[in-house]
Amino acid sequence: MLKALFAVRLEALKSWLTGSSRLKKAQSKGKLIGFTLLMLYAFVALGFLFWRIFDGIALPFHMAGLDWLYFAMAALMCFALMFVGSIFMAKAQLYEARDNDLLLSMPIKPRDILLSRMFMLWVVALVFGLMTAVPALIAWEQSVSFGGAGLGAYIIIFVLLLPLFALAVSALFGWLLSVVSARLGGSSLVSVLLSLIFLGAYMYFAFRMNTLISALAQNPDAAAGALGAVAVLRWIGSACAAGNPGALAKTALIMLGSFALAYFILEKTFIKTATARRGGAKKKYVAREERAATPRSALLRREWMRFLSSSAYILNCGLGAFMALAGAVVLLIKKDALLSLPVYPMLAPMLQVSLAAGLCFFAATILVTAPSVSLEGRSLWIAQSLPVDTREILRAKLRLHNMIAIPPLLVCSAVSVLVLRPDALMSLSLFLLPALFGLFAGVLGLAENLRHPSFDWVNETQAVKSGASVMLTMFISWGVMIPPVLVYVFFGESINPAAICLVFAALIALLCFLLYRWLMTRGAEIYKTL
Amino acid sequence: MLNIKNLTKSYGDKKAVDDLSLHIAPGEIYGFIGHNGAGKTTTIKACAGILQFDTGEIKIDGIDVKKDPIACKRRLAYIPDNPDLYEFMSGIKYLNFIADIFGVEKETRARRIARYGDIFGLTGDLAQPISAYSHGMKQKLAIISSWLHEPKLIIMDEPFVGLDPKAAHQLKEMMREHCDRGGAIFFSTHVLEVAEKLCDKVAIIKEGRLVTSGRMEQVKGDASLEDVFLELEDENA
Repeated sequence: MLKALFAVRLEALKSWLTGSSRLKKAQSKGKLIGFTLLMLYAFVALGFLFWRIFDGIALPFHMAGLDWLYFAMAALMCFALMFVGSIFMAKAQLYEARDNDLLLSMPIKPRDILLSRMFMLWVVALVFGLMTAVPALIAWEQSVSFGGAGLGAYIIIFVLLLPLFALAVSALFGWLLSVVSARLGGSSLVSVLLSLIFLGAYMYFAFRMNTLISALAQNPDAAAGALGAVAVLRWIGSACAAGNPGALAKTALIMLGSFALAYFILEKTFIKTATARRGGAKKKYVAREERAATPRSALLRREWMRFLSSSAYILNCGLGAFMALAGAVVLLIKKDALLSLPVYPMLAPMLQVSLAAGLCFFAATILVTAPSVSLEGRSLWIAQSLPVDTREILRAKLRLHNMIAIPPLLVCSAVSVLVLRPDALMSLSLFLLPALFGLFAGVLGLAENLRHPSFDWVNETQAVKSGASVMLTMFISWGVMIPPVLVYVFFGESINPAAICLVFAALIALLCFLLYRWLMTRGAEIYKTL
Repeated sequence: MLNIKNLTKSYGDKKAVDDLSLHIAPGEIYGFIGHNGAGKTTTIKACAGILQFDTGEIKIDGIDVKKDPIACKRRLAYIPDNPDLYEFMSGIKYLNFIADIFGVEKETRARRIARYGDIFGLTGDLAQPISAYSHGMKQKLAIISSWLHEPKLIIMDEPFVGLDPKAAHQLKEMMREHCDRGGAIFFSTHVLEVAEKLCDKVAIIKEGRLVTSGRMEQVKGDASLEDVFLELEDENA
């Protein structure tokens, strides 16, 4: 039974990777290969960043006789990434999956359903964890080299034990989120608030990571004192650095024990939480005068309602907007410190270009349109049967994206201009480029979703978080940024950076126009036939 | 009101609907019967303008679905076999959304929502999110939304599935009343007793081809519709 459930989960994963089952086999294969390459690229790019961090601390820590601390820090970073990567998926997979009712009605033990879902979450946690575990391993092997037993312990801990521990913690948090959300009538606002607080803390930690690591490298004894107080970190370090079997056994006991405890709690509460009726207390309808709207406004309102109803949609596709606003606040707070830097006059032009690029980066993470067609799901028939021009439906999706993306980007642009006081051309670039890039991400996301729709998702998070169109839009947007960055790196001294930005802005405007025209012609036709 | 001429639709090599022709006049309740996979849903979706077909012609109120789909959709309402509505909306928000799209006046929509909501006993639940509705409640909401803009033609795919006996009775009354006012209804069903009592005309389809059609009394003669249906199924096996 369990084997069959694992097979179903893997089949769902395969179906998601290859897209709609209506596609021909050859197309699916091509898509799978393309997607694998894309994932590999993302994995290598992020892995490289982590490698640089570990490469910087491996030797200093070894020289200071604090090998264990290196592995303790690797474990901490690995755990943080796994936890962040899997917590919302844990909530969605365990408690909000559409097929929970179906599976519970079958002669399947609830614990098997739970185990099969946890298996998928373990795979997700492992993938996130490997992004730090592999670079940490390579950096250590290059700079210091493992002992035989140490390498074995490292693999056992980072591939098996740590993902299980992270899974246990994220599943428990997911359970808490689910219970709180059900009590509060399934409000997406609570989830968004909790997530933003959590993400804020994570970002703060991540931003301070370099400073912390430099400080630790300079004063490893202090770090050893602080982290050594947490016994399990010392055991992990000792197991990996010296191949200490006792430390490995104690680590295994703690992590497997935590997993067993989490599994026990979830198993006892699974049916109750999975079948909890969402919606909170029943509200009685009292007739009142309703506002009438034009079809155009009604379509836009529909998009807003869908967006605001899902915390996964808000967080995964609107995060860039929060980040742009947070960036503006940070820039205002750090204004004096930045401007008083002795090297500021020299760095100012580069900083201005970096800010423009950074804003484009934020814009590329606002992906409101990228899953918007997939999210129509089984209710797609409604939009298709309405007496409205299909182009109006697509325009409503674009309008929502622009309303969410453009204002925060412009606020951040305005703050950048206010703080950095660049010349007129650069000021124009700082406004124009991010705004155009925001528009570009919108039209590109919608086009990609029309080309790669997926309607067979089991929960919204899956459609939002793992849709091929979401990933493609983000990576293509980032890819588009590479040529102008290269032009600036190689020719920045001979060409006015503002000119590079404005030419790039013009090209983005052209791309927006072409994509919009495609959406209003071919895209609208595709939508009708979905 | 609805004129289907030589409709053909294939999925790959398989013909789901093969050279089908039907005519539904104003004032008629037209039943569409066939076994699972016979091509009923494909035909209905093509009529509702949400499925492209290969050849043939579908006209609603004299307007070609292919040439002017929006004008056709303004004149019709469609209820699918499974009422997957917007779960992120409340019942009342969904009804208002549909009313906005069809341009139903504020007073008119309020009056109709109250009337049909009361008929189906759904008024008190309209503030609830649709995600909290049962299948039957969703079906009732889909029916109310269809009647909200008083379309000339109502196309329904298995409309009685999930309805309680009282709601099913109310729906039958509403269907008759709609046709008495000059509207037309084209619906599929597997409940042959309902079709027999309710429909003015009936069409039986098998493997995409029309087996028989006409006035109910002509099609069934002295036998029951069930007997005729089973006999025709055997004859064409």
